[in-house]
Amino acid sequence: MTARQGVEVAPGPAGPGSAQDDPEVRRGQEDRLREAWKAPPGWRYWSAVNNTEVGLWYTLAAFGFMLFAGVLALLMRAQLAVPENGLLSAGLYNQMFTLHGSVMMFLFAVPIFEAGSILLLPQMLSARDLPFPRLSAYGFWSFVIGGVFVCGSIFFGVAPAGGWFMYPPLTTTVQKDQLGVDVWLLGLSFIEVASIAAAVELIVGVLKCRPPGMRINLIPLYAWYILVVAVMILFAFPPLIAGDLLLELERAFDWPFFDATRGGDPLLWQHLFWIFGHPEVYIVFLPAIGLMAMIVPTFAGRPIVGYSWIVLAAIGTGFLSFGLWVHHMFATGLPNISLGFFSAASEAVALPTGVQIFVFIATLLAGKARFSVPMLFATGSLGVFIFGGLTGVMVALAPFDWQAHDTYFVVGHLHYVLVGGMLFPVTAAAYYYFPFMTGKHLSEAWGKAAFWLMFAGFNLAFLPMHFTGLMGMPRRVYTYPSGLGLDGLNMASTVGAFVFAAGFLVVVGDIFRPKGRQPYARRNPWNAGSLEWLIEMPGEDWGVRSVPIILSRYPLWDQPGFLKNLDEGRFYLPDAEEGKRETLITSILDARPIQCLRVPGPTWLTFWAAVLTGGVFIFSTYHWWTASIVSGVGALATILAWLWTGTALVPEKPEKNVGLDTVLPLYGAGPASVGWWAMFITMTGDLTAFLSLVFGYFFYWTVRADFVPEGAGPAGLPWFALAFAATFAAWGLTFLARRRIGALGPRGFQGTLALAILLALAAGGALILAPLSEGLDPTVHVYPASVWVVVLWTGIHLAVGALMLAYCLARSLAGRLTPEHDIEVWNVALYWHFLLLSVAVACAVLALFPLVD
Amino acid sequence: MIFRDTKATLWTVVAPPSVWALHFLTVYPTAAVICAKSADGIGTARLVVFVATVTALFAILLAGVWGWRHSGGVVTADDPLDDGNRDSRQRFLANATLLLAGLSFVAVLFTGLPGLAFGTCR
Repeated sequence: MTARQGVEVAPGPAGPGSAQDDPEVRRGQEDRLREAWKAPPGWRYWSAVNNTEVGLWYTLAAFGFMLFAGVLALLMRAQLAVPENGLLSAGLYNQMFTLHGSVMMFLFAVPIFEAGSILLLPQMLSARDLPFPRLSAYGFWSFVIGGVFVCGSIFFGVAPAGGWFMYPPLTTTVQKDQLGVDVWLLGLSFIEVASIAAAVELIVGVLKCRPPGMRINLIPLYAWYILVVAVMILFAFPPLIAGDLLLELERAFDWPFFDATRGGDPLLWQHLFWIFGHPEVYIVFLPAIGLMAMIVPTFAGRPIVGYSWIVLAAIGTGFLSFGLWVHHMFATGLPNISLGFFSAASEAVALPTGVQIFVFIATLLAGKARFSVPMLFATGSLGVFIFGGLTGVMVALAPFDWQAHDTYFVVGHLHYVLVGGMLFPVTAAAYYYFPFMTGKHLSEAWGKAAFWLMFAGFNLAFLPMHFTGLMGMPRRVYTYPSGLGLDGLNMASTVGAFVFAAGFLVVVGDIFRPKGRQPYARRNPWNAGSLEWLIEMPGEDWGVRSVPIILSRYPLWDQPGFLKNLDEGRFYLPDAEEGKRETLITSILDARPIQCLRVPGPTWLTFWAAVLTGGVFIFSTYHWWTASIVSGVGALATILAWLWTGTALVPEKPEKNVGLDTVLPLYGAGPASVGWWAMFITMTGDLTAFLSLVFGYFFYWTVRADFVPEGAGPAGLPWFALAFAATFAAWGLTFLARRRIGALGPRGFQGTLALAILLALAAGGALILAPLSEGLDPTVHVYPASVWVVVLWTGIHLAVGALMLAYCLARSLAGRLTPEHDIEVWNVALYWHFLLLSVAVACAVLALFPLVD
Repeated sequence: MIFRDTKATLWTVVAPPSVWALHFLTVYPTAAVICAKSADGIGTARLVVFVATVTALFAILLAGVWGWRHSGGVVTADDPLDDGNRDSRQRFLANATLLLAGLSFVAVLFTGLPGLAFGTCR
């Protein structure tokens, strides 16, 4: 227990008389720190995993995709400038709007938040790095590979063309043979996995990697938002992954999930898509508001007014955003009472959203606001977002939505929300944080020009769409006839779009113009109070010279002598005696130091793991199954090599002095280790995907009276019972191995694991035999398909569970897994808790539900 | 007494909105299943919505009272709960629980209203 609670935070920095007084000592420490954290030279630079490099690449890549999708938008606007235009064919236009939406959402809006957080969060928390730098690197490479694959498809004329939400039956009948749908499903699934990886990293980062003393009531507001958003990703992305799986199974193997002639229902896709899709809007919006919550206090020159209210708003929005998804489906004929629930929740979510805006206004009023380019974009964003929010309240009312549904009104609404709620704040942040990233300012004059062009161009482009929409112009049409009164408004939108783009081009120009002769900005150039601005200009690779003790929400304003003490290494970890990369792990509520975590350095393994994982998805698109399997085996081998060589490393000594007379362990297992938390978080997401599949089963039961056929059930019952019994036994043995690793001795431990592996495999076999014994053919009807998909999901998880046990067995045989160093078996036992729950639910639903129905 | 002794944690903070989520996950599927399975079952659906709403509101009220007591009543702008000590941290978490209870109360009330408004499933 003592390890989990941590040790007391030291009363203050090392005072006069300590070793840190000696400049010679400090120089030696700095050299060692610099050496430990330096980026690899030459072409090996691309093997870096540190947050400063990966965060930068990630940000630039996301901006690159955004520019690409922006060009697509300009081409569409050019096509719509005049009626009956022939610039683009209908087919190409379909590909363009699909790709525009998909890229903006999946390759820009969500990743830019992950990228920005990887870059900013460690510095806001004075952590030298996030706990899993290699996972971030893996996520980044997956993102780039998947993104290039999806974007590249348009140059071969095979881009997805079904709209960014890929509704069946369009995508399963008319577009059945079009490669684009598979490109979308597989390419983006791959990126969704990367998003979940980022979520794991960021949750553990916010909860466990804060500087000592930064209690939960002192953390930067951006960190609150990131925590909420990362948790939202865990519950929002898995339903989409489940939906992708179902849609791809129908397309590739003819399992009729969305085919009404065989009992399927296309509406299930809409549910799964929008259970993801609506929270997605807030996943995009909240981090941007988090950036505003960092920028506004700086320019108001005072702490935020109503910190608790911002926390209320962030958490409240995070919850409520999951009760809104059906407002995208108001026109699908669901019972009115159902629509009522979602309409009500859609109105309620306006409350926390409004609270945030009032907090910003109050902070600006209470302080002395200074206006600069970041503030210009921030205030512009508020205006645009409020307008989009109000039209949002309009479309949240079902009767209004029935009129506006699928018209340009919705296009106007969503762009006001996303540009006001996300693009403008991100541009504000680009101006605000540019000195943080490069040590130099962007130009005030260029920034102002960019803002006015963007603001004017945006409103000129999107305000008329509300009118064209109300006049009846549908979305997603590649042209329109003249004489309907739409000509002038559409021309205005096109002109506005190009003015807007010109403004953004000024931002791009400002970012990339050579700044060789421009002097470095002074330290803390905006007189901010938050921790990230302790960075030197230009920044050092180590991030923070020493990990500070935090007593305030704005330490740079409130803590006397803070920067001097920090620079002189008078806080924690002022040295890298062993030449290792180290950061502190602290407790969740009070940030008491728990552990000195060694984080891994550069490697190519993550790059190759991403390339090979990408191969699985990309080859599957073309149904090149052999290549896909080879790539999958390669990915598995690479990931195992990465785990074996880079994780759960046994330190050369049990503990070390991290400065300020504080001795911390270098190793921690179970809830004391960050890996255990990562497993817990990952499995929460995984369980959500599984429950989405189970939701599908009950959805079909609800809408189809004939879903469970007569006589289904009894034949499979013994096999399901066997599968559950074997899983339970394997789980028990795994739990025993973890609990009694010392008492069992190495041979007993290994024997227990071996038996558990056999039982896991037996459970998987019995699970497959259950539907076989009932003679269920998944292509005949949606019932057998629903049974099989749950069985396959659980069966694959049992195989992974067996593989994990085998990994522990191998580690034990190699002498790396011992009673003193047992991270692996703790994490695997945790996986098995979730696995037992999944198998229990699967068996109960598949075996027992047909009997009681 | 558990009510008085329970310490504020991140779990207490998310308790009120979790009640909202549970309420939502009760009323929406119940109404959907009843409306799909029987044409004139709206009476049952409305009863479920009513009972679930009253229960949820009571639970949220309880969390709110708890938050009120543990945060020491009204938190003003002069008392921003930003001290680097355990007491301030506890009161901040209790205050956040109270605020979220307020939001969740309104949200549950909103979500329950369709139960009063609709006389048929269509």
